[in-house]
Amino acid sequence: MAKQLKVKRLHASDYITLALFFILLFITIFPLLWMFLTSMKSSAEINLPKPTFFPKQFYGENYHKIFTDKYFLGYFKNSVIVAVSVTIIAVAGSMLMGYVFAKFKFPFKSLFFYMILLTIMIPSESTIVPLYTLARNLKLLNTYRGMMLPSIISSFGIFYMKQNMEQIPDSLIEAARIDGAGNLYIFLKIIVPLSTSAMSVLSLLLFLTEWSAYLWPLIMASKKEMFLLEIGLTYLQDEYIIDYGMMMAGCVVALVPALILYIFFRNNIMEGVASSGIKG
Amino acid sequence: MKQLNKQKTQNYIFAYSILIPIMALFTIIRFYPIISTFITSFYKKSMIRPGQTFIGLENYIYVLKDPEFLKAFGNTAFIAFFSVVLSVIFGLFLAVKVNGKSIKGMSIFQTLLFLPVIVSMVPATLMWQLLFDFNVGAINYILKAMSLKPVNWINDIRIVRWPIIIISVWKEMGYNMMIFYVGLKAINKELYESADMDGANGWQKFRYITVPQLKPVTLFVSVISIIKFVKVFTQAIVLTSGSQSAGNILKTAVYYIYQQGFALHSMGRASAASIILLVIVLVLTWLQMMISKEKD
Amino acid sequence: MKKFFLVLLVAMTAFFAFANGGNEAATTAPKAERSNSPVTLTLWNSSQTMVDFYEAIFPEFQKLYPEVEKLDILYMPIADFVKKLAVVLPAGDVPDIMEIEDSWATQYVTAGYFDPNTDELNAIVDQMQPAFKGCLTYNGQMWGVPSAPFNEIMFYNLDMMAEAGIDHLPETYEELIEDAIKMTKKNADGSIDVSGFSMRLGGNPSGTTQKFWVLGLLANGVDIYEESKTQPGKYHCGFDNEGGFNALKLYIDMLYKYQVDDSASLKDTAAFSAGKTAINMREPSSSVSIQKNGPDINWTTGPMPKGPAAHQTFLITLNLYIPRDGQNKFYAREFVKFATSRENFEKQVRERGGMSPYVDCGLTGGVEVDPRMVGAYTIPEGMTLKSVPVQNAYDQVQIRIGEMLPEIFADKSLAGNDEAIWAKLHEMAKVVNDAYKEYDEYAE
Repeated sequence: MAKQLKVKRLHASDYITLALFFILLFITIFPLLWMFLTSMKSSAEINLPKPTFFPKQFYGENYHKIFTDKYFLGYFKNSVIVAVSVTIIAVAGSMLMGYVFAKFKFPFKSLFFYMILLTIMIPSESTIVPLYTLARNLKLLNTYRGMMLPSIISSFGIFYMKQNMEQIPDSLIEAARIDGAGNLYIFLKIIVPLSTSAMSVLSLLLFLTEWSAYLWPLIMASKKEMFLLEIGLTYLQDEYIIDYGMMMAGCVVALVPALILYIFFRNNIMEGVASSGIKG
Repeated sequence: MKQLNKQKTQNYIFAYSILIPIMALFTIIRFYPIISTFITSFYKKSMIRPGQTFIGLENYIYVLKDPEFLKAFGNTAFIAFFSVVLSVIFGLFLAVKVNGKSIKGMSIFQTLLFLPVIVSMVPATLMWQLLFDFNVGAINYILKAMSLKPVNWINDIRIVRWPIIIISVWKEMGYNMMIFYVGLKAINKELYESADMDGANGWQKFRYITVPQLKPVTLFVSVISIIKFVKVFTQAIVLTSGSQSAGNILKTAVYYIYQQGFALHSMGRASAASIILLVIVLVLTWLQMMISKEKD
Repeated sequence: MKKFFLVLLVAMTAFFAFANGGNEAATTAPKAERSNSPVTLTLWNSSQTMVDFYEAIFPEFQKLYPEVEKLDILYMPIADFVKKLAVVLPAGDVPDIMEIEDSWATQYVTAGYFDPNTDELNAIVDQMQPAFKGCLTYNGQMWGVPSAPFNEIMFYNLDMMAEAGIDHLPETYEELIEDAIKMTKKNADGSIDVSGFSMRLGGNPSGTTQKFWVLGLLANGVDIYEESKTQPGKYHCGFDNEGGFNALKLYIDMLYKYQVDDSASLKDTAAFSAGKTAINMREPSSSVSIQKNGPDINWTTGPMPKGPAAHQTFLITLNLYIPRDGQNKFYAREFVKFATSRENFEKQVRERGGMSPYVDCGLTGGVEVDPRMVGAYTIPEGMTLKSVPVQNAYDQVQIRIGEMLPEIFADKSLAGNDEAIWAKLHEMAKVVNDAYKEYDEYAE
């Protein structure tokens, strides 16, 4: 009751923050909308001196070219297999490691943690040659396993899970221990249910990272059949001119599966937190 | 006492039985390439020719003296600083707004705000390139409509860092919002309720409950953002390269590494530059961790 | 949720361990001779129009060798190709055939990743323009066969020329500049709306250098390098002189004195197709893109005009190379022979604005071309074709110059300041010489 009253009594500062919110919202959406509309324009229209917002004439050629590309379904399948596998494996590993780092004390803990953190600080461009040699020696070129290789563990994920699990009160774990619960049981029965929200976020972010992976899959795949969607769509280009419409159409197509996944996870993100009801 | 020791042993066993296999994996697919990079940084080594010669610190000296590297480093620092600050602040702001119940249909707004994260960087940058285009871009069109002078966003080396910051913040704001949002949800509601009873206003609640409670998450977001933006590359190169743009390619630190390695084939210098970058990020992260601990 | 998660995890781990999706190609002994079993030929390149060409001629090739089931072409845009090759070629994970641009292939040739040409392949090159030998010969042997040569030509917008009252294509640089000035249109704020001549001011460094090379240096009678008089096989910067000065001054003057283009305008083929530039300098095959993206543009082509000191254009080519570690060498060579035959070059001329390198039948290979393209295939009296040298440092030299040029072009203070232009020239010369030194190819 008190809350509702407060909402109605808006202060000047509330107006300012509200205005800022909508400005940011506009900045976020406008380019996306522009992208979507551009994907339905021809190159000639895109290059007009006076930009058009809505396509003067619907131009379906871009989408037609994508969907009739004989490799399109293959790219799509490859991307799904690689991204889904990587996400599941990396999230599982991150949760276990996050749990260990957040709730256990053991020798060299912070050393281990900083070593893990260190690995995300180096740009992937610089470690690609040794990694390639490794994948080659493991006979993983041109395989899904090879494409997944660098992403099946996530330093980012471990860090994220550790930070989130630190918020779970120790008292819950202590109570379970007194009841005779083992560490794995505590992980599955207490930690995981209380982390569904973070888990959903992490799954989503890792999936997106893998979905848009570029350099490594490019190095690993030497056959068109093994290309991922992101690379395949980029290559449907004119040699002399950046075909913006085509590029945007490709982007919209690649966006759809990710968007569906996001909507699926979004409910999870909200519910997860609401039902866990962490109380101190 | 015995009980406690037994528990301790069990915990060790559990922790290490998870830690060891995963650290083993880390050793193979992360530490080994990094160590290999580190070792290469002391050699004169071509990416495409066999053989290498040990040259001590020469690669480091070359890189640190190379005006191109210093330029690239300056650009990176500039872009990373503004991108981190803006994307973290806006991310937190949006998370608080989205979490609050003051606006109807928040979940739709939340979805929309998250959308740029889903879009791939290359097409996203190309789309911004269209918007920033001097002649046909919508942004200059709006400026002209407001009878302002159009800006040469992309092809003026003094200005181009700003479009890159805008693209970076646009892309990462929603990401940070999402992480903050989860952190906010995890804050005990009772804290706010008791603050309400004490008559605290919105700002006070934010300052004395939200901020301290969000500390681990904030630390996470800022560390990850710094790491990410120090590696800024794709947006810069896509926006400023290509024969259609007159753009002077905006060189960032990763571009320098990439250029030394893939184009000029000098693995040694690329490795040395990578290690320098690694050390810088490491120091920044360590500083953040220290500051965060100090406040406790 | 938890159970779902666990089941998925187990399933995926199982999948991960046993998945057979896309296994590595079975490694067999290289086939040096004709085989009885089916063969798949693999080819990597970075030119989309050449992919279409190879796919179009493949059925004919199959008639000769029915056992070749498939031609697997992996196309990558040049930026990706550069990365992939640098990692993959040294490791020996290669296709049967690679199509690479000459100056960029050199370092791989000298590192020994390709087979030298067989006598049969050499016999083909021997019938082509002599300029090619320069870019293919290393250590007395030839490597690679030209598959997609191109020179630099001019595209002219005829409507704009008519509008400006210009009745003939420029034949000299003086005319070129004069015409460009006449056709330049500016916006109210002084920025360029339609450029008189589209200038390459940045972007991919090698491309920037190539344009500066042909428009600036070659026309002024100098080259990027100069061979040492005392030590053959060693080089130094070839443009730290009057010719180089005039080349750089030409760019600065066109930008700030004649103002035929600026940094903000639309550039290159995109500009030409959109009617935003009157003159564009590019290779002939970009005509395909103009026809597609600017069907209403009324255009024609012409050879490079005569420069102040020399009349030259460059001759750059994509070559087909056979990797040392390739599998189907017999078929690879046969395919290279087939693809570079006279008939197939004629097909390229007809279909992708390509040009024939065979010396006895002109650049068109005797094909009647689109009247608009006649100029592109004309080599005027006294004009020479300049190819790139085989030097280890050359690719690096190109990249380094291309990284410096954009900033120099953007420097307004150079306008009318000869001393400052000289200073920039010396700066560039030092970078070029350093690159040669690094590869042990430097001598005064």
